[in-house]
Amino acid sequence: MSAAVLSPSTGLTRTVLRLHRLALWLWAAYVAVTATMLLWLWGPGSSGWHITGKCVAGVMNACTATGPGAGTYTYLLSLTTSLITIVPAIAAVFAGGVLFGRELERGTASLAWTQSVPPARWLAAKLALPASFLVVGTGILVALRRLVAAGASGLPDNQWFTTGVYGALGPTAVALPLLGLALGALVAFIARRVIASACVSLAVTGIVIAALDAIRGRLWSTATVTGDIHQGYRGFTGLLLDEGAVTGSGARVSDPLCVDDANCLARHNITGFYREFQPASHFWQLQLVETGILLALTALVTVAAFTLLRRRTA
Amino acid sequence: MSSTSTTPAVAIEATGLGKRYGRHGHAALDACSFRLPAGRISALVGPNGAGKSTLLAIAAGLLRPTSGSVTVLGAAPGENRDRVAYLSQDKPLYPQLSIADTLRMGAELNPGRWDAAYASRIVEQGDLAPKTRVRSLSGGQRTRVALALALGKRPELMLLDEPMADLDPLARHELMGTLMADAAEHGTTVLMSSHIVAELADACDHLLLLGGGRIRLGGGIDDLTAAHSLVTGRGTADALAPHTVVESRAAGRGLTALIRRDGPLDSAWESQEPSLEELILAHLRNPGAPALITPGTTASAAAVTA
Repeated sequence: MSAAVLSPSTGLTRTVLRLHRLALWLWAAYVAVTATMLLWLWGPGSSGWHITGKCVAGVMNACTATGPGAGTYTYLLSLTTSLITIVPAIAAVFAGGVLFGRELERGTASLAWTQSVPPARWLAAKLALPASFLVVGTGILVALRRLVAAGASGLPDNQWFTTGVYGALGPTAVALPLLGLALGALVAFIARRVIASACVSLAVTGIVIAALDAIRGRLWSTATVTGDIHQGYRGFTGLLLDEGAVTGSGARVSDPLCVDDANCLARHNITGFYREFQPASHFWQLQLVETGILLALTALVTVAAFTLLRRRTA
Repeated sequence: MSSTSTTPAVAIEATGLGKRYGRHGHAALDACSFRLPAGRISALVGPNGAGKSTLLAIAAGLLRPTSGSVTVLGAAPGENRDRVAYLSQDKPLYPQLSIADTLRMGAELNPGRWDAAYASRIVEQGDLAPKTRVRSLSGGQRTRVALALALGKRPELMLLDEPMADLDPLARHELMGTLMADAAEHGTTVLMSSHIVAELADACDHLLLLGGGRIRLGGGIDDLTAAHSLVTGRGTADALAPHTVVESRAAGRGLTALIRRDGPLDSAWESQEPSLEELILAHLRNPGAPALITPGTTASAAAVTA
């Protein structure tokens, strides 16, 4: 079925493209502008500044970009990162609002269903076409963002464990918009209202993103560094998950905040301090597991949307 | 596909059709059974909330019934989307498209069936420029475009829900003429709901009166009017037995009644055949009157057991 749905020669494809011409152009412009900024960051923008400070090890990177071009570079870097990571929200609002919510609120969906197009084929086309444009667009942006990151890999804004960067550097950035799209469709079939569907789709997508942020560190085996009371907390490179004190029995407890007070440490039986983290080398393992989860959720939500449609219409 | 391509003698056959909105909601259709023979132009009438729109939407394959079954052109609703046209009450169209784009959509979504010349002729008769955006059209103009989209696929069955409600009298007359000429020429079956009985009386030869979610009156209009008499005379309603009194009211010292005859009428009563409007109004005012469905409009026993 999908081959027939995606074929550019079918009338349904052309109709869907014509109906969402504006959205298509806006998306193309969005990708083009973001890609241009990324190309600049990769090319001309990468000179005119240099890294100062120590970039490796340590709890957090302590290095920064300095020089005449540093301000523009870091500004555009965080801007493009944000532009990539908000695509799932845009996809959810678009799907819940314009793509499905408006059709169901206005009743124009039934216009297609009473031509020669069965509702399931209509839904397949309305999901497959935007999905393919999303995959191509986000794919280009993620590839460019990785090029930029490789060009100045020590900089915190280019490292995946820095807050907000993880979602722009790997396949989750491609999978998450697809989940937003599917959620928009499902919510629209339930709510049948433009504003309500757009808002609820956005909220649910936000909840999924927040939930993934919360569980991400546990999706792959973690590493721990432990220091004795003289070493204190030891440095590492990666995503911090947990830290605290270790007692003489080996139990992990919250830090009693004794600092250097030996009596205090003895009273609490503290023998060292630990930090649990995802090492920098676990990036792809985490990305692939998370992408798998996202694609499974997308499939589930898509099946739910089709089931709901099939139950309502003949 | 090939076995269903010949026009079946039955356009729609419903058996025990029910539709309930929500789990404990009210039943829009309740054990609704009837048969619409092919080639008829049938008026679907009934009070607001009688289930007219629900019935049309089910037949168009837009809604799934809660119970019972229905066949449309010999198959389940939605199996023959290419041969069934449907025009909903609010006539949704894409406001951002031009008229030409709307008709192009009709061509793209009905491959192999679309009659572009016919569709654009319906639009041109309304003096509408093809480049006009749908959002700038008046209600009546939108109806015309929606009708062009529905008719352009050359359907064998047209399901029209209040098709002419927002047209001015002239456009209504002209479009109805187009519709009926087309239906007559191609033998199209039409099931059309409307509140304007006069409009139906001119155009239709078949009646389905819905009340309380089921058919109260169904059959050829001539057969139905012939089965009833509008009588006046002295006496009480009881004196009209064994005829079924649909409606009676005092008129001077006597009585005027619309009756369904059972046997010959006593010559003491002055009798005349009721108009379609009188027949419909009497049944609408008296929902308790027993149902009458002519044999040709009754769902077959085979369909009941199927």
